[in-house]
Amino acid sequence: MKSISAKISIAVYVIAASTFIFSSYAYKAYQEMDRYQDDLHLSLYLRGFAKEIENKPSLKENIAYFKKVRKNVFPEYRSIAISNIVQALNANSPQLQAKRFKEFQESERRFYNETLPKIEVAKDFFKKYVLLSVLSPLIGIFLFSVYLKRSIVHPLQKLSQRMMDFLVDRYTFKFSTPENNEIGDLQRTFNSLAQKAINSMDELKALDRAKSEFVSIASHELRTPLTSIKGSLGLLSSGIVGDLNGESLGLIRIAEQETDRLVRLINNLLDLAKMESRTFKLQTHWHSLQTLLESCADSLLGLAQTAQVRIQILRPPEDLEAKFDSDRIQQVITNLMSNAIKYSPKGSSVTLRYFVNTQSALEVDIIDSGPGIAESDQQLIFEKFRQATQPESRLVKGTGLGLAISKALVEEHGGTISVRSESGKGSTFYFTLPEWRKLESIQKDAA
Amino acid sequence: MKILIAEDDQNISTIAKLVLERVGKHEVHLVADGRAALDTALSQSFDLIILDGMMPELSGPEVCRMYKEQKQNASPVIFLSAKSTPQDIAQFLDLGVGYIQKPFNPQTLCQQIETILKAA
Repeated sequence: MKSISAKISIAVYVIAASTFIFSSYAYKAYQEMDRYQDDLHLSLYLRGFAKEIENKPSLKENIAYFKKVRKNVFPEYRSIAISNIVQALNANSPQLQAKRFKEFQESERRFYNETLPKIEVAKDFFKKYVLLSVLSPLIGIFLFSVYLKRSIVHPLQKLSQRMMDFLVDRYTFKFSTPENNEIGDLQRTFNSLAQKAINSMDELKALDRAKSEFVSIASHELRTPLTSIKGSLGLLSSGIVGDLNGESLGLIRIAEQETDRLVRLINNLLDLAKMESRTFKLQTHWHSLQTLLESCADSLLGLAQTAQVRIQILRPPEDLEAKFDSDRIQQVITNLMSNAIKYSPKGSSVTLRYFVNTQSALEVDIIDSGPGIAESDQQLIFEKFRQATQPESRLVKGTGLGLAISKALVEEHGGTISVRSESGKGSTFYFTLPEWRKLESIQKDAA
Repeated sequence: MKILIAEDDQNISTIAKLVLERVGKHEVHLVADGRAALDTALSQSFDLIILDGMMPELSGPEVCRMYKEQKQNASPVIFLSAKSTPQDIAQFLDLGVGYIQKPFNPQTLCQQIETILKAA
């Protein structure tokens, strides 16, 4: 018998049956005890009655009563003693009567002595069976609960633990030998589900591998011809192989700029592909925001000077630290800043600031006084290959992927990126980082 | 400096040779596959060896590993590759003294090489 429901039925029947059997035994013992007690009462009554009539003239009713009682007494010696009394009474001999009454008292005493231990035995049986009829269901229920725990609750807990494990990506396990019952069926079903999930996971991994392989090959194949083109153009424009006239040099410069743009585009595409294929890993550490913004500002100084735009950083009252991948967040800020510089009018400034916002996340703002972005475009610009308006061609052209990459990078850090802007009133691009702390508190900790 | 460049793309090797000869005034020796690179590097002595990452016969990292095993006082090796995954870059930096990403800028190639060699 393997099914749990069958075992449960059997257990219930066994408990009920044992209770019934023991209680019926107890009832029988009680009845026996009762009967013996009744017999004793009758015997004592008879003895009293016999004493009463011994010294009185015998009445016909008394003789009739003895005759009647004689049929209902056990064992035989008692009914013989009563019969003898009846005979003696009928014979009307006082001597014989006295003798018979004495004999009767003796036989009743003997009966009393014989019956008392029988009552004790019946009493013991009664006690024993009452106890058993109470204990047997108690023990049965206790054993049954142990069985339920062991064969249902524990396996269910184990199964639920393994499901939790599965949720957090620990999926390399199996139930060694699922039992041949309902719980076992559940485990087998879960195993099949897990196997199915693992299979699809493997397929996904294979797809991911194929994708990163493709990305790697594509990057190699695209960069190799670009290396020759960029190299040739660089050699021509630098005059290493001879001087060119002004017009030719201008054309070569255009080709060079566009080649550089193509290189950036490929790099950005590869970045994006890496992020999407989940092979991308952040190296997060605690960094000071001030240091980060200063180094971003430094790296864009050249671009800012060409565009005649000033960069200013607004410090909060206390310096803040955040946990992030320095290279990647630098990439985000540099990208947002170069956009800001590109779209800013000459003589204006691009402002960087950082603070803890109302949602208690650390927010970094990049504020420009450019043409601004229409509300309808504000979400679109974070998609791939979307630019609201073409920037002035005086500066480096964008690839249309910068904001998409920035968005992916910020979201990888658990933050959000967005823009506040009105047409004609400049834009504020901002992003948040969820993990930050005050620099002061760290110094206190160290001290 | 006497430099060995192993590069299977003839256009790229031509440009690299031109830059290193004209700008850096180096003596440049070209080979076009991994086997030739290993043989040449073992039989002659160079001040610097530049290896492409992917080449016929033997890959750049393979050439570098075998070269370092077989040659005493091995010359510094710089990888020149279009590969840019973190694993690739880690391998290049593990085996060689540095790594130059393709496409390289011809005007700054000599400078880049100098910087890497100084750091090494």
